[in-house]
Amino acid sequence: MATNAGFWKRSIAFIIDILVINLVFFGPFKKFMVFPELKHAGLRELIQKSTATLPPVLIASVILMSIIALLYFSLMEYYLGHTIGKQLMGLQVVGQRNFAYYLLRHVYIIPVFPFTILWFVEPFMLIRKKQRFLEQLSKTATIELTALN
Amino acid sequence: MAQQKRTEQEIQVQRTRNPLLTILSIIIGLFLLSLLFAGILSIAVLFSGSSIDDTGNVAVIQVKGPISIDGTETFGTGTSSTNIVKQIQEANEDPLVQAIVIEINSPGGSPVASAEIVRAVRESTKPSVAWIREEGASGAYWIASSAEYSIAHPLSITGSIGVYGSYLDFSKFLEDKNITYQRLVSGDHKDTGSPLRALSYSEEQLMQAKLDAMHNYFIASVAENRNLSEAYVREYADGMFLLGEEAVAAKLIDEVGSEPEVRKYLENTLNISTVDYKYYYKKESLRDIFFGMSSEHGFAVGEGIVSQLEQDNQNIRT
Repeated sequence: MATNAGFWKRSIAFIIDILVINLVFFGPFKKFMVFPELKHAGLRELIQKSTATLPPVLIASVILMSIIALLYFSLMEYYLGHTIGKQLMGLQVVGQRNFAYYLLRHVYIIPVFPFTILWFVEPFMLIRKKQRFLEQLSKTATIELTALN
Repeated sequence: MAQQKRTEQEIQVQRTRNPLLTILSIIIGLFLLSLLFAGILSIAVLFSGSSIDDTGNVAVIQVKGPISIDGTETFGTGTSSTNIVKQIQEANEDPLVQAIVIEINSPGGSPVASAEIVRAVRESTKPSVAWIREEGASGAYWIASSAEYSIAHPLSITGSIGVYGSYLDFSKFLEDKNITYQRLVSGDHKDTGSPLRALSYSEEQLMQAKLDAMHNYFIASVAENRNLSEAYVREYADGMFLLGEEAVAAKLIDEVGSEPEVRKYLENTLNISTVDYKYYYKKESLRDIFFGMSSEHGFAVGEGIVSQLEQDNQNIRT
């Protein structure tokens, strides 16, 4: 009997994947991500610094980096059924064979409104129903691999 | 039940693929895509002709590492006076910039490169503040002295007003190895300072006189910048560094502090109500773009080694 994976296993898998993505793909963007104007800023200043005042190059690089991350999650799950993090945590994605659904599963990564609303919705749904909102929408699920063996 | 069966079949299909090859293909493909994206961004920055950070009313220009004309010293990690002068001029011409902060973390470097920056700071019509962080010694202190106001961390290394031109003399080593330096010169002093032969007494005197002349120039410039007498500055010009708080006591720096004190000075003394830093960076060249994306450090190390080998042994440094 396959059971949906829990919050903690999925969170650890996600952190592992973010580390992999940061290590392997984000290096070339490093020079655009330097915003030393904020290094002396307090929390209040960081919050007040709206995207409208951030340099366009910084905004562009964050969006391009999020596209890379989106493709990493989608391609890995589409072709393998899991990402590196999910494999290490014994998790598997099931439910669809259409790539578009795998893209849909991860649109929350793009840091642009309205997708940013999902940053609050997704963890809430995951804790409550063990299935994210976008998983329900894409008719996919993340299950514990051990339960199938 | 039917749903469960279908799910398990799908998992089976996914598992039959060659996972290692698939992972490698995805990772390599995405890495190449990230390089492409970063390249496009670099080109966009280059052709826009602007710095990466385009906002702010206080220019921050960073002097980091050894100072030289082209900034290639110490494996390319130093400051280029050519770039810094351009950045100061650019900040000076920017109508939105109300003040210039020279953020210093450097042990000094070439006298000429330092002097070029000193001149650019002095010629700037905008108020300037030097902010010494960990180190602002020798040529870097010279730059700090040229700003209208200077702030240094109490534990920073500053001062060190002096010039040196020391080098290794290999003549004894060659002699031990039975290698002869065949001297062929047109002009008696053409090879003065060559590491392959020892200096004569008169040559040593000549070299010392040139270092002393540079030292005097350095002292005179600091005295002028700080509105002190040359005799007074000379008291502190034995080459020994001073801690930030000692430098304040010696009137070589105006205030001890860090970024909050810089901000306070900008707000209270220069009346800049909302300080918004605008950082100036070195403009990327096409070479930087192509070599910088994947092999920036490797290239810098290679270039650094070659440039070090090519350098004359009689480097004179402030």
